[in-house]
Amino acid sequence: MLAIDAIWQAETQQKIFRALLNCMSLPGEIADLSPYLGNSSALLGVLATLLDGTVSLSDEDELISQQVRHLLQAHTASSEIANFVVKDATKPPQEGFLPNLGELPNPEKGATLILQGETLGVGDLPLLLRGPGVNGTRKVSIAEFHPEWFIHRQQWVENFPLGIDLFLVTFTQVMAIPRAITIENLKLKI
Amino acid sequence: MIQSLTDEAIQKNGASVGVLNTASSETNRYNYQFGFLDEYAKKEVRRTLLKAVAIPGYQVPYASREMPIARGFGTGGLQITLSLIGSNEILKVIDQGSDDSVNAVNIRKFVATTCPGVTLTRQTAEATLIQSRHRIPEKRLKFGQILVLQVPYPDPLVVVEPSEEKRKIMHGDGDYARLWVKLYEDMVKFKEITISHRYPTRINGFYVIDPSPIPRFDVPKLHQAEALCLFGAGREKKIYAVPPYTDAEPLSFSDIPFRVEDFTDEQGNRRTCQRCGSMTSFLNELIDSKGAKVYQCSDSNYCDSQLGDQK
Amino acid sequence: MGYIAIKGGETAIGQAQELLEFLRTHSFTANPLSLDQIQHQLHFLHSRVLSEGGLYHPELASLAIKQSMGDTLEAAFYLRAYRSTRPRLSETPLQGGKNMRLIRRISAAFKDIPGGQMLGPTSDYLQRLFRFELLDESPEQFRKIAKSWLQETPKEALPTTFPKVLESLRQEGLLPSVSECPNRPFDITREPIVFPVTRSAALATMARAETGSILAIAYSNMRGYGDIHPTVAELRVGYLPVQMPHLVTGELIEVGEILMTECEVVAMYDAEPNQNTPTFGLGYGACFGHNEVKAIAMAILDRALQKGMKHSPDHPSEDPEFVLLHIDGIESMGFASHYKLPHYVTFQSDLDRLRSTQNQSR
Ligand SMILES: [Zn+2]
Repeated sequence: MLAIDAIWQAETQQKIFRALLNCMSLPGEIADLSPYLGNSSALLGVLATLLDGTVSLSDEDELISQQVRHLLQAHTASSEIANFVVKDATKPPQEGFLPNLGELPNPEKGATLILQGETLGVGDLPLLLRGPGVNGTRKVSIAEFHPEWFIHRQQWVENFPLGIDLFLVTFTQVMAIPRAITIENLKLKI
Repeated sequence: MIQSLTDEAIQKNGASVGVLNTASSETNRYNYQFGFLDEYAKKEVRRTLLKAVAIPGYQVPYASREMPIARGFGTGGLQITLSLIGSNEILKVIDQGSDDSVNAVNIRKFVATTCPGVTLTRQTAEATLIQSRHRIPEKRLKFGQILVLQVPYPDPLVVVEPSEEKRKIMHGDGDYARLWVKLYEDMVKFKEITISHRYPTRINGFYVIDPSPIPRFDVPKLHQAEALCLFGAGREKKIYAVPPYTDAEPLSFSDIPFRVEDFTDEQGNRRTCQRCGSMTSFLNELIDSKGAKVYQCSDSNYCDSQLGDQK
Repeated sequence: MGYIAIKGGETAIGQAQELLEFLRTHSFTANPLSLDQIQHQLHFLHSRVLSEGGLYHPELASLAIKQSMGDTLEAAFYLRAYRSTRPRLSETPLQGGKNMRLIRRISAAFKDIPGGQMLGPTSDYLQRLFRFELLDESPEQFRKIAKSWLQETPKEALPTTFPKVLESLRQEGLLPSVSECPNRPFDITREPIVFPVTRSAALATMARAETGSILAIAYSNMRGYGDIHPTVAELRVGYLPVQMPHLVTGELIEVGEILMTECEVVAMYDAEPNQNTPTFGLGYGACFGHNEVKAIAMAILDRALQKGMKHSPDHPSEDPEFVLLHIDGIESMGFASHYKLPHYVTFQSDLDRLRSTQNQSR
């Protein structure tokens, strides 16, 4: 049976949300959610905090169990139109994968993409971030997030305000790269 | 130094308002939960806040719930505050720069009643969360602090285009030509830009925002700020943000620069606060009991702390 | 001076609340209003507050009226604010007005309608002459009226439902055929309104509109800033059953009923490009409680807005933004009230600009 884990409680969700807001305002900042997660993953913590019956979710890689999906209440949609798209980022994006980038008058319709990988803070993939929320530039290294995701991202966000906003999650950590951020060292690295 | 007004406020409020029962009250069929709003409402505001921060300066629409204070009194700011707040929060509420303005007192009381455990403060530096109407505090906000501004008119384009549908298209195209023309016509007519407050400000080189009715004096504080600035328009149902370390540039022409309010007197000297003597703060003009004009800091906590420093 | 006045904010607010409470209670001989008295003797006030509050809660609507001392805007505001604390747990299945347990239904289009006209409790044909005997109505007399009415009225079984007038018009091909509602109804309390809006969002906004505001805009259309020229096909007031799936069996069961007013107007036809035969246009209005004028105004505006959404609006009443953003009483009342708040800072800023501009022109 499913015990009522901490992530479903209002008090926990407030704390996780503040961590997410902090990450979104300070791209590259890594938040450790482990004090709030109980037995759940950061991915579930983020989803439990943000989702309800009024939004749609795409989980083509089946990272979320049926039971949890039911609790999230969000209706399932294809990755082209879903508000929230969850992907296993240890693998590269599938051919033709294109999330909703929003519309010029309604850019908030651009999806929130949640990529699950292995490591944030150290690793063989350095990202040099510049843009709102970053004081000058900020370097953050990650590992086991397939580099192709960031090349695609660059195309998705090239026509601001259209684009997607990214959360990178590991088992306990989270980091955000909103659409207004430029990753400066991409071509150098890949 | 943190003034814990919570208990006092709850006691007072419980007696005078009467309808607000905390969840522990068993005697009544009806009660209100922590943070007043239902959790789904908070979730919607939270999702909106994340998009607002991700798209700096863009007015994100949201459903906007009715609050127990009237539209126009800060329902947008309050919904943001209630969606952010946790029991470990240190909250400051100001109106016109003052912690003791009636509207600030009322909002603070409401939060104290519906969010038990929250610490209330008057000290700008101690607050983790500041809700304000019409002012950004004099003391520079720090990294990690969040400023929530109450917004009556979220859209700077409303002066040139009444239709929201058309304004959204203009914003999406970054098309502010008509706003520039308006500013230019102002200059031709009056030799001055006549916009006094709510000065249109471009965020991160793209969206132009209405920075809420703060004076021009406060607009430069948004530029590359360390704190996160959130804007809530409850009646117009929009939330927008200026993240930390983000450009915020008031619209201006090269030959007529943007200017803040002028506090120089007839002799060309900077007016000072008659109370604390500050020569740098935004001043309120008052008429004293003898009918003479006097000036005082609009930021009451700043004025108090200046006085404290002198002692 | 101003500074000291602000400093006393906390005390001032407390005393103002006490004074307001004194105002409510200062008749030393009267009894407090009971919620039952409010709901029944102030039937139309109660209905108005239910409808503008957008929350069907007769008990709290009465309490709101009591607390607000009869201010309709304030009373509706109490319900709205309370609604913000309630989660939406479920959706009821769609329910047509046909299933109403009627207390009144009329048609202005036909003299005879299937099921017959049913005047019900209406003030339409009252002569507005004072009944001075009510100046001094005794409780005994008061109670006798309802009692004897019940005794004298035969308990013959009325049909619980009546067919809709529109059905016969539709059978004759005078109305467009009904299309299934493709989407879930738009919930304006959960989703932001972004223009262009769906008809569902427009109807939901009008259903809780402030009566005077929606009437004024509809009246502009009736007078000549528009050309809907409606005929009331049917106006009905009654109790609409609310159904929910049973927790265990999942079978739909009736969990209660709500008092509603529903109005359907037919209006001059519009040539549809993809339609061979022209038909009448339809306007629909419905709201909580017994609010006939509001339901009629809403039906007219629904028709006007459909025209404005299809073509570009020629009149304010056909412009969805103009209508939908200006008919909410909680919002317009709040914003009008907010001008009473201190504006010292912005006024200081205004003074600065004016003085500076004056200097430039010297
Ligand atoms: Zn001072």
